Amino acid sequence: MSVNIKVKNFQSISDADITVDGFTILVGESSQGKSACLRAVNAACYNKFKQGFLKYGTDTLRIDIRHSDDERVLTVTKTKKDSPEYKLGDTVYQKLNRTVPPEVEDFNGFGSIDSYEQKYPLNFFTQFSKPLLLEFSQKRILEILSSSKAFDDMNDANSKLNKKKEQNSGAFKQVSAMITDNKQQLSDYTERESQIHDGIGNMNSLAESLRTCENSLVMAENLNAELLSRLNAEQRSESLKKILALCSDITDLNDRVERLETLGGHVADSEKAEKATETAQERLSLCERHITLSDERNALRDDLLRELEKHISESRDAHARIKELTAVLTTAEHAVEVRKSLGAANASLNTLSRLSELMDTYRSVHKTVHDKQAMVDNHICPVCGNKIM
Amino acid sequence: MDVEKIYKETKAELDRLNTEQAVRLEKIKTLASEFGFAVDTNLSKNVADKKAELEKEKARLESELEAVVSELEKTQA
Repeated sequence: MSVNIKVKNFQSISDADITVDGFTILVGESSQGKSACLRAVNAACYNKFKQGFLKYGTDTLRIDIRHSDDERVLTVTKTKKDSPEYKLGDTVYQKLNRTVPPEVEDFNGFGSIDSYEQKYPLNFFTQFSKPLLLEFSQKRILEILSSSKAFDDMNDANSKLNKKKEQNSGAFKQVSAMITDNKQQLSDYTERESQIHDGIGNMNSLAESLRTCENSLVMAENLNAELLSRLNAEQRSESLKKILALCSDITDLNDRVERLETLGGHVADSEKAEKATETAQERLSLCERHITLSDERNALRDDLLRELEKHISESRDAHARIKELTAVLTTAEHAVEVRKSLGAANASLNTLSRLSELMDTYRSVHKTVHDKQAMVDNHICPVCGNKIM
Repeated sequence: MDVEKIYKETKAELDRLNTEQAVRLEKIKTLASEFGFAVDTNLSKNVADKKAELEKEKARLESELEAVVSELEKTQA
């Protein structure tokens, strides 16, 4: 069975929480509140509150006691002016006038002897206090023991004490075993504590490494993102450069194609011009040939006209000669008979025949000239017979 | 038919053709030298062959440009 004790605002104690389980030793430096804890329990168990118990600067002190085998909690509160108030479970006890309710005594299990309005503890002794009756003189002991109620109380207390002793006898053995176990556990705990310290150190080291790794990971992710961004930018830049270069190449190519088409156009125009030049030259040659032929024709016509005029003149002369001969013949007719007239006539016939030949020649030449003129008029070359352009 | 008139007109046309041809020949020489062609009877064929070659190169460049633009669009997406 363990007892839990909570103390607030008692002397130097602000807030203490103590669990007493079997044999318990309070260890600590001076003025830490070990004795104050005992005084608090003593004050709560025997309603022995004094001035100075309330912590300086506070209004109320409070002591809570809980037994592990009892659901109830004993709560004792005390203000500077008011008397202590006890509360056990749901029951509240006030104005106790330095007495302790029997239910509370029974709850605590501490026996006491009442004598002459004094309450002497039987099984609870505070620090520096002597066991029951040892501090008193024999007279006082007799007075206490001779009080009417003291023996009954003492018997009750003894019976409770014996009961507690029996309990404590078993508890002592258990406490001894527990002390041995506790020592072993303490050794184990010490070793485990060392291991835990090492583990904590390792965990701290691992946590630090983990934080470093996390930071490195974040930095790596940032660098990776930045790298990807730069890579994309470089790729875009390279692509744009390629596009610009390709556009420039295509533009140059278009320019070259355009200039090539211009050259082709010039070449085609040149070929057409050459053909036109050839045609013009042919036409020019024809014209020159035509002019030459025209000159020749005119010269020939002039010759023919002169020849014709000559023949006409000769014909006229012949006609005049004929007339003369006719006159001569007429004259000689008389003189020369038919034979002479016949001879004269024959001569005349010869002359006429020659005249007739001359006339035929004239007609032929005239016809030739007329035909050539007609060919020229019809744009036909009088020499080769081809069409003049 | 006035042959003299025809002769004069033909002569004038011939002079004009010769003048134009001279100017054109200078342009042809300039452009032909740019492409490394000789001004001879094969000039037309050389021009046609070169044009076909340039058209082929242009088609290749346009195809490459389309590929690069597609790649850029993928990168931007």
